[in-house]
Amino acid sequence: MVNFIFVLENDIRQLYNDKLYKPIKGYAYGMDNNTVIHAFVKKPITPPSGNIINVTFHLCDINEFRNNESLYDGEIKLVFAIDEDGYLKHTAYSRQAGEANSFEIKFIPEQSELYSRSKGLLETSVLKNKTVGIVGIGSGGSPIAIELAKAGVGRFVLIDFDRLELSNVARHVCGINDLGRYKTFAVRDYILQKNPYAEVSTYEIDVNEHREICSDALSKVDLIIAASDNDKSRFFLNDLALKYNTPAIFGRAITRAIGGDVLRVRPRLGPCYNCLYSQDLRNTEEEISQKERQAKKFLPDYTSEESLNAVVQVGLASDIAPITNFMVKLALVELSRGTNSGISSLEEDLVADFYIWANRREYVYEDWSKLEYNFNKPSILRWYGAKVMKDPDCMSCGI
Amino acid sequence: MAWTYEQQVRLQKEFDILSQYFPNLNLVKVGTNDCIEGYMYTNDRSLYKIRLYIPTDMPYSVPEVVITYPNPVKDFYGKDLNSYGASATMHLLGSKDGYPKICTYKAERWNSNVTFYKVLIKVRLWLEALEGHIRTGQQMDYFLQHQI
Repeated sequence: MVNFIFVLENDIRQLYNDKLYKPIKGYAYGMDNNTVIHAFVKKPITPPSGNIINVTFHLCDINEFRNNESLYDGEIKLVFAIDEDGYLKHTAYSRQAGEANSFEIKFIPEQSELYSRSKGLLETSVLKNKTVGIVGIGSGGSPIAIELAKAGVGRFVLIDFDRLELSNVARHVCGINDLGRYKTFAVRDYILQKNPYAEVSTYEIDVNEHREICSDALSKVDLIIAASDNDKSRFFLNDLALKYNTPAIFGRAITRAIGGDVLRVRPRLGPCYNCLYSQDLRNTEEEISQKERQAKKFLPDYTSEESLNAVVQVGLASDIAPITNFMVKLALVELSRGTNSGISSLEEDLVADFYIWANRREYVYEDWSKLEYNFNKPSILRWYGAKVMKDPDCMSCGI
Repeated sequence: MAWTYEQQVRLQKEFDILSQYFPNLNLVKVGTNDCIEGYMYTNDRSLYKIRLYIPTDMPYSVPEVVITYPNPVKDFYGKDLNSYGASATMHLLGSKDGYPKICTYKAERWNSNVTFYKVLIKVRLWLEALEGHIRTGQQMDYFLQHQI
């Protein structure tokens, strides 16, 4: 039987830096009949599932390393030493019911190594130091956060006041085990699963009610992702993007996710959210609002139940995914702009600031031609870039 | 209420526009609220006093607008408009500070480009519709469409 213990490389590096030559009680979690163990020097923010196991980290000199026999039953001991040639020697022992076992230690490398396969395609060393602020950690914001973490983005600011409810689970990154948790905390844990070295700040606030806190939180980010589900917050985030001269990406799905659109705001270089959405465009489409409670905030007191229900209809995760995926692509292009990365050519393709997507030929897309073999007419399941100009009378960017 | 720098810039712009088109309206303090208040005449020279509450999160919310004169504002039947509460047919959103609050913009149709000037133009239309109602007994819906 092969037994593995996974250890964070940085944990051991820290032991050496701190010269901690004494046994240290760690934290370990055993899975698959304890044949796979994840061990940590410090208690992880996101502990893996599994049985809690007694573990000791022991940094020692090479002689002690070779004569290690002191173990009590049920304990796992991880021993590290530097040999005469300067190489790290490591081994792990356990004793279960008097019987000794050995484990193979596998190191979880540093952040730069975690994303080594993206090298050449993405400038992972650049992304590691970028901060992305995501407002709205729901069915749109949560997959964007995870995809950016997978791409190597190293810092996140997550803002959402909401908790995960049963009705969210079908579309959200998080699952049943996260029910009742703040979406920010739950998604932070998923980010750390992808990148344990990521720095994640969370704010459990409603941006419409705590604008100053939100403004401070986003003042130093490199990119704003506006994934909230109401226009009031997006007009505010647009103004923040303009104030801090920070690019922002806005995305939304409309009525039961039959389609959606994405707007990139590059302050002063193109149209802002207000230039576009203060026009009639917004009035032709009903946006998905996930919760009756949230919808009620934005509808007049005399709104009928029927109208309210129409507003709270949501879509399939697979219909929202193309929109969030495109937002991720735009985000990576913005974060990598000017770094000569493998995706630089996309800067020449993605020149439009506004993009439209349709999932089904319904409602506003009813007249679109069938996909079939057509490629010269608007049809579903394709992105279309639209040329949108700045509004010279815009009260946000033209003032 | 302390306005942020961005809000102060916006307020200046709003007042520049209002001074041109609604010079009778002034900035007043009502309790802790900054408001725009003043008189408006309808086409048949009826006089109304209106008050627009400047939202603390301006420009992200629809300003609340009430009719403060005459008090009470009466309908065709002589009934106080406050007694309607929120009414779609009368374009009313209940009461504020004891005055009837009128519907100008739907919140989900609100955007940062809407100035107080545009809201006040809607208030003028609302007053004309009220006059039509008082003159004919038709509900205000007859004269005033709902925002789509």
